[in-house]
Amino acid sequence: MTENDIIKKCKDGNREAFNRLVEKYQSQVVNIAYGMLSDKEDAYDATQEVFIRVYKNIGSFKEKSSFSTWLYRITANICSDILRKRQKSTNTISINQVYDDENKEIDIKDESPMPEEMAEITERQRAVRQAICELSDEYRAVITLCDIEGMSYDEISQVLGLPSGTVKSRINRARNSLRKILSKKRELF
Amino acid sequence: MNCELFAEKLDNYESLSSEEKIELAEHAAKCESCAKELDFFMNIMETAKSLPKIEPPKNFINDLNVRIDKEERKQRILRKILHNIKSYKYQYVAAAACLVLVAVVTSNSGDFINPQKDNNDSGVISEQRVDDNGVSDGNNVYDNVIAPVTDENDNSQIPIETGIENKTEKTEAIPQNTSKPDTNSMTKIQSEVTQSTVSQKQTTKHSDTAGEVSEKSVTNSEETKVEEMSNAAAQNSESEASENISEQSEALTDIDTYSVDETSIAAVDSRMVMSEPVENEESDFETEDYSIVGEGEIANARHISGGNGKKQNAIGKLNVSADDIDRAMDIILLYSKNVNGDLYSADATFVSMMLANFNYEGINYSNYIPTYEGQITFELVVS
Repeated sequence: MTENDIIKKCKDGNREAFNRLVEKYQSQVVNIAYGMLSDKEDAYDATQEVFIRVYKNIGSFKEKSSFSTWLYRITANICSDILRKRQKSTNTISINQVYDDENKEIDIKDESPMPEEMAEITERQRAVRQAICELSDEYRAVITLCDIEGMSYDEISQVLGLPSGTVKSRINRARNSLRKILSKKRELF
Repeated sequence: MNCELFAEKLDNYESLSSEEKIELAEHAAKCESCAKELDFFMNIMETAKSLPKIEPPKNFINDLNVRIDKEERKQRILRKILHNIKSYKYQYVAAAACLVLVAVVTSNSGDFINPQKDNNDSGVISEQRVDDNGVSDGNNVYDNVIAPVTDENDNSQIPIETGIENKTEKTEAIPQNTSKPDTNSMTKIQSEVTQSTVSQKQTTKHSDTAGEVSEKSVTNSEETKVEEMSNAAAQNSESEASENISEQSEALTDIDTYSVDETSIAAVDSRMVMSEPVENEESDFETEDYSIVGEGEIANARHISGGNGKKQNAIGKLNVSADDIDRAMDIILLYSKNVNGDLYSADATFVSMMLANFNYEGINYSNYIPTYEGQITFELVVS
């Protein structure tokens, strides 16, 4: 069954088909959300909201366009909403939270690297994750989609609703900002 | 390429062509500081790419489906409620209006009933009711709702239920704010209550003379009206409609019990205003002088007491287009009773509601109603 067939079934209200879509995309959505929000719990909540919105609005999705782009656009919008609410309530993510998240992940995925190398990778990753957290919302979004998720300009442009030129220049500025924040921890790099 | 140009190009790395990127690498091979800068830049990008991914929680899909089921249930209930409100709002308003009149009159019923005490052992007024609106004997309703009023419970704390009929002029006179009662309108209400009390007493004397307690208490008629409205609503709706009526009246009684005094009347009145339906402007009510229902009911009571002073209104006319007659017929039968051939009869209040319903449903009609008082008889003409 192709993705289009599954989507057609979703439009007919087939919950099984919908669940298959969720299975396919849940991981990517949660990671985009995590990149944009820097908090796991928020990322889970956002992901649930994303798929509920998909369920409610699947009828309006035009099959000719790319489902993943449509899905990620919803993700970006929901994350923006959460970030805006966050600003209003001045609820900032603590540095320790980022460190804890990272530690848990690395322990689970423990493999061959030497302890020193692993520590360095961990430290570097931790530093980059933290620096991304300190970026502005719009810079964080493009870094997440481009450098973390590896999306093309076209896709980023559609997901964020920005012209390609703007996407490019924003990526440059975001990276420069990241370099500036990380210049304090140059020794790790 | 010099170091300055290198730095500039590195800041715009994403916009560089392949050749420009090669030039950068070539310069870095020759310049240690620029090489460090390039390394730093590249490492950051690679680290970002390699950041560990998180996984959604184990029960994510399950929890998602549970949530979707909940939302769907909510939507279904909301749609049902909205449909009911839309279809039956006039019945709800009428029922609520009757309830508030019951409450208002009950709170003053001590004055009505006390004079009867000598004539009736239980202090309860039995009721005879002309079945002009197809309502069964109201005795049972009365017994269930009104306890005998004695000197002890007269003027006691009693719950007041609220609602209002669609009488625009009436509500304009009523204050919006419980804390600042409009003394003018309150005085008006008070005087009319007293007036109806006086009329009631007079009628009582008359019925005593007639040798039977045919006095119908205002509360009785109101209670039977409530029953009638509830019946009408229940007949025409799913069970949710009647539940909604009681829910609405429960919701509207969500005020503490009041003592029967000026403040409570103002409180009742302000609640009457709040429950006023929004589409008042669409209604086709004849504006008329404010009259407490008590008077109308007392007029009816005079009806009952041996036909004395029975009102004979001229017969009105209701003209409905043939295209609309089917829909109109449902509404006509809801609010009035077919008495003979094309003649229908209904209380003035119900005639007003019927016409309002026509407007709401977009039914074309014309009418001639000589007077909006008491019982109205009209001829139905289909054009």
